Amino acid sequence: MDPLQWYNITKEALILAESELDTSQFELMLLIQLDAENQTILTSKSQPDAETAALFGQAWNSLTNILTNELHLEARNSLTIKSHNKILTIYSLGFDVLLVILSEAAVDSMDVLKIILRFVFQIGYKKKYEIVGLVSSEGYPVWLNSVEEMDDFLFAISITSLLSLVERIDYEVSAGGIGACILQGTENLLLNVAFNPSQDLALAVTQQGTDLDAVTLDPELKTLYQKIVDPVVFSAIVPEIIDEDRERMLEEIRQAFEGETTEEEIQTLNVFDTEMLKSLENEIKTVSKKYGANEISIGYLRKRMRLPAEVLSMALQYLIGEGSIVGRIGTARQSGREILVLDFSADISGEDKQNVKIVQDQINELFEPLNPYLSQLPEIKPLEPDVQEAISEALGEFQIMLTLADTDPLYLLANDLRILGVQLASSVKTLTLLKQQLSETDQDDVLRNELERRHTNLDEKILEQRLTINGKVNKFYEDLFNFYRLLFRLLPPPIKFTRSRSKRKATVTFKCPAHDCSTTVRIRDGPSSWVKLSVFAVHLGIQKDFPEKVPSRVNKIKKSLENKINKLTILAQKTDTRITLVIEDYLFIENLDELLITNTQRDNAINILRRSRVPQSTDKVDFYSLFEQCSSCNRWYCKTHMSTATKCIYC
Amino acid sequence: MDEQIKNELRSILEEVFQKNSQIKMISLITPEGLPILTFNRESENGLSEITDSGILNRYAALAGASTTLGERTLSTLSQEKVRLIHVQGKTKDIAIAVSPHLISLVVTEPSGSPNLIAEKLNTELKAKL
Repeated sequence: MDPLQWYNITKEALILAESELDTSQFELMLLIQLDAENQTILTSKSQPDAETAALFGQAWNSLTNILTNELHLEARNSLTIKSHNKILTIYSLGFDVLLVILSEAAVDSMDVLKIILRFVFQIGYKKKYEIVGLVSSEGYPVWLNSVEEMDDFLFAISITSLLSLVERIDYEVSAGGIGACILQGTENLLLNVAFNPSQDLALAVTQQGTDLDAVTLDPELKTLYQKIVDPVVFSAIVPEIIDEDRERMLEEIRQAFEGETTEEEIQTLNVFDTEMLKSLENEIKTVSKKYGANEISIGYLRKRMRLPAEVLSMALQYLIGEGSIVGRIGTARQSGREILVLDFSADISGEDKQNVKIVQDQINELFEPLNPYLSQLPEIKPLEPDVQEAISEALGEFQIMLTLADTDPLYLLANDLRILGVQLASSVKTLTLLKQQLSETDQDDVLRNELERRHTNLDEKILEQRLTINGKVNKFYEDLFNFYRLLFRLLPPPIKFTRSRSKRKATVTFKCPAHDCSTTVRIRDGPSSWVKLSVFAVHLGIQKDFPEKVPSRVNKIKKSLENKINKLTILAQKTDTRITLVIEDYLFIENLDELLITNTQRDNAINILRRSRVPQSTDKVDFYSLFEQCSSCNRWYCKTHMSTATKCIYC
Repeated sequence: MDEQIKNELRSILEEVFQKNSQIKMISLITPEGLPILTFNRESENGLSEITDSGILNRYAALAGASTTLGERTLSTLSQEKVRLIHVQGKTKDIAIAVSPHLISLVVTEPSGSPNLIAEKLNTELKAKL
């Protein structure tokens, strides 16, 4: 393809794309071909003349020169300038073609590129490919061009299946990230799936034949495609009207997908893999030696090794059983979490002692600036005289920090439960179908015997699935409350929620609980995290009641949380699953992460509290300089009502 | 599998490794998903045969899972079975060739054409299996 051809294709694609866009949001869409004096101006509110429009090209050239020659940076792909209300973006589309978009700040110019890409295929590559489709990594179709009628959702699902395969291969052979996957069928089908650099989009093309060139992407297509990123999760448009045929087909596909990459499957692949065991052993020994640790959090190991909980547990047991590491799996004193307790060797060398001291000093330094809001954490004991005890204490506290700083294990657990929930629901559905088939089948039939056998097997499988879920739910339930117990050492529960001017926010009030004390601060923030804190404060007895007269949105979040906690409590306390529970009792486990506060949300909450406001004043105050937490009742009092550094006047 | 056949396969694989310096690993697997032979090129020690059953089973499972997942994709697009999967990674290229008598998993450096090597192996080894 020559440059002019490419310019003309992109120009036509841009004109067609314009008809699919809300043009009121665009000030200007302009296509320029540098050095060829080709220009196409679209959707222009400001109507620039050709000379003004050419300025964009000149600006691009100047900037590219500066960046390349002066700063020695690689060639530019795109340039974005944001003002308060507007965004100007210039994309280089290959062959010196520039696309300039000036739009309202809320517009995502990636949407424009996605549509242009579709039309570029339609106009310039109609004959080359049979099917071309763009699929998001979430499995939604962005668009599909096909010579034959094909359901875009089914197509997207089939490509998602390939994504699982690619991830698996990358994981198993450490391919360093995948750029493309080519699939050849036994007869004529060729499929090429290219991934964009951020790995959030898959572009799939097909053709009949055996010549691989038929499905390769031309360089200019690659250049255009690689500009597009799709970081917004769930941005795809899902039809609101339920199409029964599509639902049926999707259901069939889902049935076929049942059990894909289950935990057991991963387990069989990995658990006795010597490479993984060796690297786990090394990790444990390095941490132990480097930090002088005799206790290592299992959550930490799981995250470091990227292993499912069951696999890690089996691998650790194996290593302990083999004597590769000397220790046992135990429970942390403060948090109740699982830890690996190592039999700490008494003979530490002088060098190791020195290293441990350096780490110890670093931990001390780390704690120093985190006061005063971490002042509630117990102090770290000095290294001398008993080295071992001191290290153990320090790492104990360090572990609290790690625990506080990391909700990932709980999210992983919530995710495990989501998968188990989906599998259980699927088994129950099959069981219902079997029951129906049985009721329609004659007595003494061979088929009936077979159906009965399958029914019994499935019944047993469901019981096993429920027991697994119950085990994990118990753990989640325990960890959840432990997590909040620790979180209340950093964050106070609010005493009042009121409406704020912004719809998405609420005014949240904190007050010293001492009798007749009026010390109060307020913040404005999205209510979600604070409602969670209030709900759990009531559950843990830190607060007597949930605040009254709250905005309806706060009430809605509270009710949803309480509903989940109640269901979770019921499930965690049941032991005889066969008799007492129905499938509906398990359905809520698909969204347990809603009960959690992420690390980012927690850090934001701390930051906002440090910029609280006192009523009737515009001055900002640091909550942590006004309030301190009583180590006995866990309530936050103003400094006047603390009798010592750690106790309130009532305790 | 007969040890004599295995020895023959060994010498063929060694030759393939010798002729194609870009190859990092080759694993041969039966269509039923059982490992046959796996060779690995180590930078210092040259060629080595992997005998650890854990690793062998892992690659066999990978080949099996790949064909199943690949077939799920193809079943939506046509009625064909998978013949070849070629995955282009940043640091390695991987190809899995599937034929009625053998699955070959070939890992090479990027742009090392593992697809051609894997397909050729399947054709050449047909007579031996």
